[in-house]
Amino acid sequence: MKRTTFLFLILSSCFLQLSFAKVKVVTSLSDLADFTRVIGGDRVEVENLVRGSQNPHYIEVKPSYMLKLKSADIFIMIGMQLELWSQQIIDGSRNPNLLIVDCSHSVKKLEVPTSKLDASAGDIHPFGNPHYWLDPENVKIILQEILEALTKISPADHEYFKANMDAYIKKLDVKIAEWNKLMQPVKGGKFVSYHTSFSYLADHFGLSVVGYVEPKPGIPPTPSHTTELIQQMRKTGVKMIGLEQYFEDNTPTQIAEAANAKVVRLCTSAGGLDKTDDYISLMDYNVRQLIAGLK
Amino acid sequence: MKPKQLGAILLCYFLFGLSHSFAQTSLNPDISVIPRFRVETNDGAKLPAERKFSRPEFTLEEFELAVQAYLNPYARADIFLAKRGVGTEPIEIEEAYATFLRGLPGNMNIRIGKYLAEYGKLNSLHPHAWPFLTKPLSLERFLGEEGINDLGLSVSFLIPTGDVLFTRFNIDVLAGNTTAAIDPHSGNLSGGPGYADTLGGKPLYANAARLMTFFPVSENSDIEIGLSGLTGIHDPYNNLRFYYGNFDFKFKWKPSSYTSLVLQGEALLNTRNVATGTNLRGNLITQSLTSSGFYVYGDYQFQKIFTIGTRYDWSQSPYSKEDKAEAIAIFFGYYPVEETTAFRLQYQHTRTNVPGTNVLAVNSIALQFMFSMGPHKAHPF
Repeated sequence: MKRTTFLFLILSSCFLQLSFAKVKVVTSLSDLADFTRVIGGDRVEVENLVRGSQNPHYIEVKPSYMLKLKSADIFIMIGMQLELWSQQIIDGSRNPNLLIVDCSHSVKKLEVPTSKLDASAGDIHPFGNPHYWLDPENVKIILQEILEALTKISPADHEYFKANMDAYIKKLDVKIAEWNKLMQPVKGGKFVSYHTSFSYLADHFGLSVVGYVEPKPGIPPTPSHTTELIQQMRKTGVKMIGLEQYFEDNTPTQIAEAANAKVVRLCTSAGGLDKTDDYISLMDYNVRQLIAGLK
Repeated sequence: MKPKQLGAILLCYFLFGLSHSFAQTSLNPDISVIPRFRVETNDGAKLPAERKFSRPEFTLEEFELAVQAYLNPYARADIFLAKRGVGTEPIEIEEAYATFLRGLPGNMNIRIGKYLAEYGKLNSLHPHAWPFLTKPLSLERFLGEEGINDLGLSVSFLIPTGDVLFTRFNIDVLAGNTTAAIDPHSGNLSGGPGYADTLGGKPLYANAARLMTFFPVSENSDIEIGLSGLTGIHDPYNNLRFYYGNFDFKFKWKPSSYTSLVLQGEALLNTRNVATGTNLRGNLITQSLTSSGFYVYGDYQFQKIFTIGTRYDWSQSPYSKEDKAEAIAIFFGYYPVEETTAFRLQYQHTRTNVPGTNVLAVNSIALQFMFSMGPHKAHPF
């Protein structure tokens, strides 16, 4: 009798452990981690590799990242070659069961090169500009990709995940309407950015990015390009330089002073600056900064 | 042949040709080219009073061609061809190996081919990825100019050590060509683990292994430490064996994209039996010899495009405790456009103390320029 009870307890404990096993997800960006937490709730464990304050183009391939992927069920990334470093980490993790999710498949892509590509054009992404998560409408596409991935690993939780996603989309729609309204007075505004990070953000709010501090994507500023940019800003009356959280402000500040403009810190990822803890607060922050810079 | 048949053949040929050319385009391997040029002057091994810097010599240090691709979902292949100088020097196969990444029991990886063995931290790293221009003396003296670069088979396992420590164990069975690095008739017993088998024919299998562990210290800093071993036949005539033990560490602090500090070092201990003669009965007399060497360096990135560092080397020789050398180097790096273009400037002072000769002191100044075309991947931590 004692033996039967003991076996029953062991089996029950195994069953309970299986029932409450969380889906382990690793994401490249903190924004993707935020979306996954929103959908997965308490049934997922989420970690991100790139901190919000880091430039996602240049991430060192660390064994600790491989370790995170080793025990993960899903790796979610932006794709479009933003995370060029990811394949080495995936290979190094030696996790044959890892589900790799590229969220970019259904996104309407901007700045897709149409001519022959080579390094003379700088660090061009052959599949287009990958910073699409900064258009809040694209977040709905990302959420759908995450939902499908979580459902593949844990089909029994599909309804739970779906309900969480729908609730978040409702909340997001309210915020999108609020952001659009707030941005209405500066619609049509022009600004210069350091890198091509804000094309989707500008596109969503009807703004124009008319120049870059980098002469070509990924190429550090040169004196001749800086002079040209100052002249262009003076000529077109551009009063704002939008600067990503991870770039130094020396050159942008010099350009802004010479062009009678101001440098405004924008943020590309959740957690990159104060008061940007999640995607919605990140967009709240960017909207406030854009309004302040473009007014 | 009927026109219909000819039409069908042409259609098949056209369709096959199209699909074939698409496959060629989409399945092309990654091809990268990395040439390194060097201008160097030194004051030779002369007495201090006669010291005079030579006319700067401009050389092609090495031209590296990398061809890398996945073979299938389970394996990838990496081929590195190298040529030194612009003359008739041969093109050498620096590395050519396949790595089986998936589908093996215990998630092990297997590498087969010719490759730089994972022994210590620097041996497996190509020189273009070093922050300095010269190989540390301890590695040059004990492992030879080419390092442990041999035909062989490597098996690698991840050791389960929790969620914080990443621990990996590699074991290599090598053909042993590396150990035959010294020509005993040259009289120079520094520059490799053992004698060349000029009689030929004897298998000199060597074995290498490395246990490494990596752990984050803080959000911005990480440490890797490793223990390596290498054993092989260093004297093929008398079948005498050598044993190397190696400790390596690397600390990296990177608080921002533009600032980082690397501290790295390796210490090597050599033990071997050396033939000293024969006794009256004709039996071999051997003597145990132990020698060592180490290097340590620091490299500080203070702007996105600038780095500065220093390295100290100290080393005995594989066959003599008295044959000692030490060096101090200061190096400066300028990377104007990411890793595609690099300039490195290095000053090195080397003192060699060979028993029975004067202490030789050499100062050298070298400027290196290198560029890289193609998608050669970043080297891991």
